[in-house]
Amino acid sequence: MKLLPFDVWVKILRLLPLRDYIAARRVCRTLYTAAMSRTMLLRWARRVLMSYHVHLRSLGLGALQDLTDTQLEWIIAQPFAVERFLTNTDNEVPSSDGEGVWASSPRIYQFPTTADYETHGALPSPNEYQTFELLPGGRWLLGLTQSTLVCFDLGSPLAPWASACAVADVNFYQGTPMQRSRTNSAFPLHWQMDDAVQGEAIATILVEGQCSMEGENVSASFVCVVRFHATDDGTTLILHNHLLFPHDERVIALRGDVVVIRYTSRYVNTWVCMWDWKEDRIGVYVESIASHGPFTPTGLHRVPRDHLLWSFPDRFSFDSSRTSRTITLYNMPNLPHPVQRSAWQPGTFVDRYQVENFPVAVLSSSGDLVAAFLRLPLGPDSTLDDDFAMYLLSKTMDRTVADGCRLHVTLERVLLEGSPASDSSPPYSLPTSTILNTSVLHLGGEQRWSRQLHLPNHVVLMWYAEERLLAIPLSSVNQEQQHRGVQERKLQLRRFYDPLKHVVGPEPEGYARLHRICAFSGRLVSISPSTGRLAVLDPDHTSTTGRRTS
Amino acid sequence: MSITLISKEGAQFLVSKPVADRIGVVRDCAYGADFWLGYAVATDDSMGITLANVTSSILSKILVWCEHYKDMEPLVDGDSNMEFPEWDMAYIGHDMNQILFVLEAADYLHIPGLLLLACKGIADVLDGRNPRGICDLLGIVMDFSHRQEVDMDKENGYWRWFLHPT
Repeated sequence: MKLLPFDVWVKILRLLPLRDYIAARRVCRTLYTAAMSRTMLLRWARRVLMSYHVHLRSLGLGALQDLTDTQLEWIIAQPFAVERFLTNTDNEVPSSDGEGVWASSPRIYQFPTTADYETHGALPSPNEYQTFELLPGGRWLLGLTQSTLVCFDLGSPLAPWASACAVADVNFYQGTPMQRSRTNSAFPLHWQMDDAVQGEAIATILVEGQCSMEGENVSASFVCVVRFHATDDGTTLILHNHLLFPHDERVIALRGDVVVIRYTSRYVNTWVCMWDWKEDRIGVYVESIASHGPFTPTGLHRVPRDHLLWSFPDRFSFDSSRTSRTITLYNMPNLPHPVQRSAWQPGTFVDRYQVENFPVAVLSSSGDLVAAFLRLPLGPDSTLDDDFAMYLLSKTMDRTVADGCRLHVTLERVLLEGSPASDSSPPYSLPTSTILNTSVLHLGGEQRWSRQLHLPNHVVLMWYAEERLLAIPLSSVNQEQQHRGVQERKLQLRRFYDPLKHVVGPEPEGYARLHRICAFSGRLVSISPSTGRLAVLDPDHTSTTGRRTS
Repeated sequence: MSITLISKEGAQFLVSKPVADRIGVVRDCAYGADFWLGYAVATDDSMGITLANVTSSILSKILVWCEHYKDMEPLVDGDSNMEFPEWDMAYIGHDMNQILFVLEAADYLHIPGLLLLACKGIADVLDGRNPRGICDLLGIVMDFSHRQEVDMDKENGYWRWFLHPT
């Protein structure tokens, strides 16, 4: 077969993935010449930098056009180097100079601060705050303006509850890598908190914003880790910065020292990035789901650090493209049957999803995905295993899932019952709280509750449209009686204070103003973004008169 | 208006103007410089254009593509992230010989969209192959000297584990 024309090879090389591009240039002199042209190297280096959202500044390099061919080659090689780094048991980075680029990234920026609220004369006014987030534990309150992150310590010995103070603030415009970022309401999406009681808190936050990279405005997101370190000498906010990701990323797992981010492009490539920020290293896994399946060739099972396997707690995920959504069942080592994947159009309904003899129910309702994966107990004659596992991405399910089995999900229990083959078997059930997380709750009929929270003895529902806030004792809820016996109590405000103004404020006029509400210590705390006011609500309090305390 | 295309074997294909417009060589032959003026030099359908380097089977396959894109603009440039329409990928298939024939014909007939699609088809076939596999697939002789291979290994040390994983 004769060799193709040079310009055709150039076109083909542009269409190859990085691995194939590298392999192709080792084929013959013609391909080597085409692949090693400066135009091609620049194109690939730019693509790698854009794909992994790496600043040249963070690599200690100048403009892309000023780099030598060797440097461009080095940049192109880095995804493989990092992959090798994390998959190789000896953790050697096979780079030319023995150092991995991203092994030393991200960089850490420290912002010394003070616990004295009065010294922060330039703190934003309450009306400037876009959002607040009370971290789990109830001590740390973070507020975000267009450009500044402010941390309030609500419980330190230096700042008692009634006189919370701002302990730190980070301005995104002041010399940080977020210099050109413009944050928005997506902050924060995820939090991880360590040891809030003892005074040191760690929060992982995701900040979205436009940023400038290589002179081009791109839509990207930051991920940074913020650590609040409180001592008797003051409080320090340390911002571990920065990772830059495309706008469609999803943080799929967080832990104290690892952030796992998964990004699915508009096309078929998916990459998973693990940022071990305590050890200052990052691993990037690139995978093409369409051709290889989820993470099979560079699967996480090859990562020597076993504790990273938890990164996919739900063991399945959803990929979105412009035309379809795909449910992907990831590696499930305990499953005896191979799993499959399927796709459906957004908004359509897939009632039963069969994986060989393995019933999987996948429900999609009004764009919100509800999914369940279960193994049915069908008695001694069944060829199926008799154990049971289930994963839900939403709260409510009441459907016939397989073989006449009916699945009920209530606030209290999840029950599976009514299979013809399992009449003699008792219904299988497990506590709802073990599988449910905070999300939208549908509680009977067409009522849609905007928000739901779990307290030790109650489930609190919010419905913004009618400004209703209900506390439902868990003991009154069961599968037959979702509405009857539900004791609706309008929650009473117990005490208020304003962490921004140090004054006692009036009672909010309606619950619609309660932009943020969260639970801790068996109580609810609501935060108004417009006023910065906090209110504590006690579901056990039945009096119609609220009591204000300072 | 329609145009007759004659393949290497002498088979005649009667195509409409929108279909013929997709083929650069035919367009130039049929319209010449006046194409940009909006009217054709030749207007009768008895005109035939001989495409001596294109076989009947390949020409018929190419005309399927031209017919599909007679009212649409195909992709003419892209990289590995480019998402091609499903119809295109089904059209080009994975038969390497067929793709190469289409590619050569598209290059000869000056059909940029089809040329890109054929390149994409080759790129997909090459997916996951090592250098030796590419050589075997395309019948290319590795013409590097041993010295050059050693030099490349030195230059690209970080690729070594990938190219020689064992």
